[in-house]
Amino acid sequence: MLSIDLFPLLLGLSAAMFTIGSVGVLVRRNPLVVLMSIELMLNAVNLAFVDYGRYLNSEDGQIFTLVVIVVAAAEAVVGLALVSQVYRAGRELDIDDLSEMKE
Amino acid sequence: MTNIPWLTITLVMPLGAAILLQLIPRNDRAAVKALAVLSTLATAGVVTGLLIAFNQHPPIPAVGPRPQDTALAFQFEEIHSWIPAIGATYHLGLDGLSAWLLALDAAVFLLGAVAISSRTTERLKFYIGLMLVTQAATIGVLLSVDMLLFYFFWEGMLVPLYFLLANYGDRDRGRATLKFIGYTVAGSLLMLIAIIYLYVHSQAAALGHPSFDLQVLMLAPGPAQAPITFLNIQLLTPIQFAFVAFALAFAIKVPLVPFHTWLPESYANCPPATLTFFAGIVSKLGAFGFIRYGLTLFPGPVHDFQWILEGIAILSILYGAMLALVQSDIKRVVAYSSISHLGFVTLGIFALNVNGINGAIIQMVNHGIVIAALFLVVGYIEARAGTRDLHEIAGLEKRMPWLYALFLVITLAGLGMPGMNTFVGEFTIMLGAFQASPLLAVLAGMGVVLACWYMLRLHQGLMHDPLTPAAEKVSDIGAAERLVLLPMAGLMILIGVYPKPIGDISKASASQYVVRASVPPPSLSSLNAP
Amino acid sequence: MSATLAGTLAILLFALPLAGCLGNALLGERLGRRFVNIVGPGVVLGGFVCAVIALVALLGAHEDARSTTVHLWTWFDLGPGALRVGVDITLDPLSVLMCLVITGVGFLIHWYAVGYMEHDESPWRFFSYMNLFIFSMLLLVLSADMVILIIGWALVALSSYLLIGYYYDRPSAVLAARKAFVTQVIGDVALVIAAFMIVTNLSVRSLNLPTIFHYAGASFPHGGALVTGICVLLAIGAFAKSAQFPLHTWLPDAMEGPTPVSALIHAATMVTAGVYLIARFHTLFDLAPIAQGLVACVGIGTAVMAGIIALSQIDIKRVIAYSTMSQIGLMIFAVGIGAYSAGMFHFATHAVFKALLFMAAGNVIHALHDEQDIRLMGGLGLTMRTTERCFLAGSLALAGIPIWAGFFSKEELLGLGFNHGPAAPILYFVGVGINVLTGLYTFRLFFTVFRGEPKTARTYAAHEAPPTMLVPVGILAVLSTVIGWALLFGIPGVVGPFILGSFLDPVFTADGGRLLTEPGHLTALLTVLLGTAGSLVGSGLAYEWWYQHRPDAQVIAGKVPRVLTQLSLHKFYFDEIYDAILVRPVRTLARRLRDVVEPEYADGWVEAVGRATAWMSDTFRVLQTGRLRDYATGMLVAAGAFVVVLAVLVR
Repeated sequence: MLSIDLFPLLLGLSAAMFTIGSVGVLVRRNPLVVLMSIELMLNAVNLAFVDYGRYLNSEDGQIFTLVVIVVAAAEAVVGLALVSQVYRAGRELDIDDLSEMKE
Repeated sequence: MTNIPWLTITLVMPLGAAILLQLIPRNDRAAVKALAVLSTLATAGVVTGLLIAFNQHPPIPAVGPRPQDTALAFQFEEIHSWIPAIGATYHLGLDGLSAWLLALDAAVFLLGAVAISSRTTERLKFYIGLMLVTQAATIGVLLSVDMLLFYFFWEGMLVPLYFLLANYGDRDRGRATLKFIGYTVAGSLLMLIAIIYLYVHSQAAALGHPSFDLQVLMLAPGPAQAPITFLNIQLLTPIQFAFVAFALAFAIKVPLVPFHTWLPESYANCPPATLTFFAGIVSKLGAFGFIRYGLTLFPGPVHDFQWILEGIAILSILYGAMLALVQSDIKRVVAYSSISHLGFVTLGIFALNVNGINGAIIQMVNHGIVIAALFLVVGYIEARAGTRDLHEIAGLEKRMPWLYALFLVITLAGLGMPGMNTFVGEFTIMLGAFQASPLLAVLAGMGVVLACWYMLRLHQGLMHDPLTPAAEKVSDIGAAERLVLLPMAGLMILIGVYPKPIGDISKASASQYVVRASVPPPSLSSLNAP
Repeated sequence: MSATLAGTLAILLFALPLAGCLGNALLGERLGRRFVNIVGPGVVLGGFVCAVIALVALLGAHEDARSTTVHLWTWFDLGPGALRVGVDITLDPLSVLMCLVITGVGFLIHWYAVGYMEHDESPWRFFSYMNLFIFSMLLLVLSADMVILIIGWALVALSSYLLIGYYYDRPSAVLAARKAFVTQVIGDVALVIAAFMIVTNLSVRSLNLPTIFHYAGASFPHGGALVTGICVLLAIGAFAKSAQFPLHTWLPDAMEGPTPVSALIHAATMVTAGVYLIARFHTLFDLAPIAQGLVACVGIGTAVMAGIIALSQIDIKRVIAYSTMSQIGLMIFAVGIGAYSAGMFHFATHAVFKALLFMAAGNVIHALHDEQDIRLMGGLGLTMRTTERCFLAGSLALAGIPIWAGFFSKEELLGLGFNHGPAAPILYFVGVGINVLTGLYTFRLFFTVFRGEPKTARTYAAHEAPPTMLVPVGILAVLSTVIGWALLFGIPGVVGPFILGSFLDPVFTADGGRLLTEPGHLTALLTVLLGTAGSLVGSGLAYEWWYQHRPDAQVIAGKVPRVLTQLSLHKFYFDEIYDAILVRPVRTLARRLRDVVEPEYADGWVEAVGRATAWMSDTFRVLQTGRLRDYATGMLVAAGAFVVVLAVLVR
C-alpha cells in the first residue's frame, strides 16, 4: 500500500478538472465542446465526492456520484438531442448565435 | 363490510376513470362523454351509500377530563402511514360537515358531466380528464383529516382547474385565469407557512412525535406565545398571525369582499358546464375550510376576530347584492349573487352557535345546487340568444315555456323564498346571527330584500316584457337540457318541503364544531407575565 | 274535534288545491280547457266541503274545547339548543272561519273565472296559480308553527306575484308584480326577525304557536319593550300584506292582474291576512298596548287616506282597490283596539261584498272589452240590468247602509272604538268621517258607471255577462244582503243571535285574553245612529253630485283646498317619495360601487400587484441576453462569491 495521502492530490486534480471544464464552457463556441466541458465539470465533482467519501469513511460520496452520473447521462441526452435538432434545422452550431431565449 | 375503504374508493374512482379515459380514442366523443357520466354516476352512487350508512349519532371521542376535550367524530376513518419521517399520514374521514359537501360534490360533477356538450366542445377528452382530476382533488380536500394531505389536495385542485379555465371559455379567459390562480396561490402559500408553524410548535412535535393530523394539532396546540412587537408596537400573537393566514386563504377561495375580484371575471369567462362544479363546489371549499380548520385550530383568534369576520360577511352580502343589482351581463348578475349568498354562509359560521353553523352547512349545499342551476340556465339563454346583455333579451316566457317554469323555481330558490331549499339555510343562519347579535340579522335581512330585487330583475328582465329582436329566434330547451334542470329544480323544492334529513346529518357535527370553537381563549395577561 | 278528523281535514285542505295546482300545471295544456274548468274550481269546492265539515264538528263541540292542534310531521330539527320546526296545524274557530271564507268565496271566484278567462290562451296557467294561492292561504291560516306560517305567508305573496304579472307582456304588469313582491319580502323579513326575537327570548326551541302563547304571559312583562318590539315587527309584516301605510303602494298597481285575481287575492283573502295575523297573535298584542295603539292609528289613518284617494281615481278597479285598502284599515283598527271578533266579522262580510264588487266590475270591463276608465262609462244600467243590481247590493253593503252586510260589521267595530283604543273616542269620530267618505266614493262609482248617459259607442254595444259570470255574482249579492243580520240576529231555528261573536270569542279569551267591554245600550244606540248618519250623508251627497249633478262635481272640487285634491289625485305622492328616498339612492349607490369602487379599489390593488410584477420583469429583462456565455459567467461568479462568503462565515 502506498502511504501517500491521496486526499489533497485528488482534490487538487478535481479542482484542476473543474477549472478546465469551466473555462471550456466559457470560451468555446461549439455546443458539442461546451457539452464535453460540462461533462468534465461533472466528473470533477464526482471525483471530489468520492475523495471526500473515502476521507470521511462514508458511502454517501459514492452514492451521490451514482446519482450525478445518472443526471449527467440524462443531461447529455437532452443536450445532444438539442444540438442535433439545431443542426438539422440548418443553423450554424455557434452558441453566441443561438440567443432566441432572450425574448 | 366495514373493512372496505369506502372513502379511498370514492377518492380514487374519478382518477381511475381518468386513466381509463386514455384508452378511448379521442374521436369517439360519445364514449368519452359516456365514461364521464358513468364515472360521476358511480361516485354519486357510492356517496349515496355513504350518506345512508352515515351514523347520525356518532360516538364522540373523549380525550380529556373536561367536557370540551373531544376530538371530532369521523366515520369511515382510514389511517395509513404516508411520510413517516415527518409524521404525515394518509388519514381520511367523513363527518356531518363533509358528508353533505361530498354529496354536493358528487351531484355537481355529475351535472357537469351531463351538461357538457359532446358535439361542440373542442378537445373533449382533455376536458373530461381534467374534470375528473378536479373531482378527485375536491373529494380529497373534503375527506382528508391530515393537514399535509389536505394541503396537497387543496393545491392539487388548482392544476387541473388552471388548464380547464385557461383552455375553455370566452375571450378574456387567459387574464381571468391568471388572476384566479395568482390570487389563490398567494393565499394558499400563506396557509402553508401557517400549517408549518402549527406543526413545528405543537406539543406533539415537542414530545418527538410530530404530526400533521388535525385531531392532534387541534387538541395539542403549542404553548401560547406573546404578541410579536415591531418598533415597540404590539402586533398579533403568532397564533393570530397563523389564523389570519388561514383566513386569507379561505376568504379568497370563498370569496369574501374585498378578496372577490377574481370571481366575476372567472365566472363570466367560464363555460356553463365548467361552472356547475367550479361555482358549485370549489367556492364552497373555502367556507368548508373556515369550519373544519378555522374553528378547530384557532378557537382564540376566532373569538378575537369574530366581529371583523361577521362584518366582512355582512359586507359581502350587501356589496354582492348591490353589484348584482346593476350588472347588465347576466352571468355577472349570477356571479355577484354568489358572493352575496356566500356572505350568508360565512355569517352563519361566525355566529359561532349551533343554529348558525348548521345553517351554514345546509346553505353551502343549497347554494351549490342553486348556483350551478342558475349558471346553466344563463348559459342556455346565452347560447340561444347569442348575447349575455340583459337589455337585449326580453319576453322569453312566450318562446321558452319550459325554461320559464324551471327558471322560476330556480329564481325563487335564489332569492330565498320560503318553501324552497335556500329558505331553510337562510332562516337558520339568520337565527344564528340574531342570537350572536340582532343587528347582524337586520343587516342580513336587507340582503334578503336586495336578493329578491336583483333575482326578480334578472328573471323578469329575461322572461317578461315584449319580445326583443335577440329573443325572436330563440327556441325552448330540449329534452336533454330539461333532464338536467328538472332534477335540480325538484331537489330545491324537495329540500325546501322536507329539510329534516339534511339537518339530521349536519347537526351531528355542527354542535361539535361549536364546542371546539368555544374553548376559552388564553388570556393575554397571562402571556405578558414574564 | 278528534285529532284524527282534524288531521284528515287539514291534509285534505292542503292536498286538494295543491293537486289542482299541479294537475293544471302539468296536465292542463294536454287535457284542455274543459279539464281545467272543472278541476280549478272543483278542488276549491272540495276544500269548502272540508271547511264546512270542520265547522259542523266545531259547533258540535263544547265552547271551550273547540281548538285542536295536530302534529303532522317534524319538518326540521337541529337537536338540543337549536331550532325545531314541526308541521303542526290548528283547527279552531278563527282558522275555520278563515278557511270557510277562503274556500267559499274562493270557489265562487274560481267559478266566475271560468267565464272570465274563457278567451284566455292559457287558462291552465291561470288556474294553477289560483289553486296555488288557495293552498298557500290555507297553509297560512291552518299552521300552528310560525315557520310554516311564514312559508304560507310567502307563498301567498308568490302566487300574488305570479297572478299580478299574469299578462307578462305588459311592462306595467311586470313592474307591478315586482313591486308587490319586494314589498311583501320586506314584510317577510320583519316577520322573520319577530320570530327570532320570540324564539330567542322565550327560551323555547320551537316556534310552535300554542307554546309561544302559553309562555308569553309569564315571560314578557305587560307593556315591556321586548314584546312591544315583537308586536311592531309583526305589525310591519301585517301592514305589508294588508297594504297599510307605509307599505301600501303595491295594492293599486296590483290591479294589473286579471279581475278574478283582484277579487280573490287583492280584496277578499290575501290582503286580510294581516288582520288574521294580528288576531292570531292577540296574546302578544294584548301585552303590548303601545304596539296596539300604533296598529289602531295606522289602520284608521290608512282608512282615511285611501278613502280620500279613492275619490279621485278614474280606473274602476283602482277605486275599488283603494276602498279595499280603506276597509282593511278599519279591520286593522279593530284588531288594534282589541276588538278581534269585530275585526274578523268585518273581514267576513267584506270578503263577500268586495268580491262581489270586483266581479261585477269585471263584468263591466269584460262587456266593454277591457275598458277600465270610468269617465268613458255611464248608463250601463240600461244594458246590464243584473250586474247593475248586484253592484248596487255590493255598494250598499260597502257604504254601510242598514240591513246590508257592511252596516253591521262596520258599526260594531266603530262602536267599540268609541270606548276603547288610543285617544278614544277621537278615532271613533274619524271613523264616522270615513263613513262619509265611503258613501261618497262608493256611489260616485256606482252612479258614474251605471247611471247617466252612455258616453261611448261601446257602451251601447255592451251586453250582459254570460251565466257563469252572473250566477256567482248573484249568490254574493244575496249573501251581502243577508249575511250581516243573519250572523248578528240569528236565523230562527237554525242559529242563535250573535253567533259569530260567541263562536270566535273563546279563541281570544284563551291564554288570559280579555274581551272588550261592550258599550252601554244608550252609547251603542247613539254610536250606531251617528255612524249610519255619516254613511247616509256620504251616500246622499254622492247622489246629489253624481246622479243629480247638482251642483256640478267640478264646482265642488274647486271649493276643496287645492292641496287635498292634488294629494288625492297623486295618491299622496307615495310612489314618488319612495322612488326618491329608497329606490333611486340604492340604485345610485350600486352604480357608484360598480363604476368606481369595484374597478378602482376592490380590483385596483390586485391589478396593481400584477402591474408591479410586469414592471419588475421588464426591468430585470436586460440581464437576459440569451447568450450562454453570460449565464455561465454569472453562475461561476456567483458560485465563487458563495464560496468566499461561506469561508468567511465559517471562520
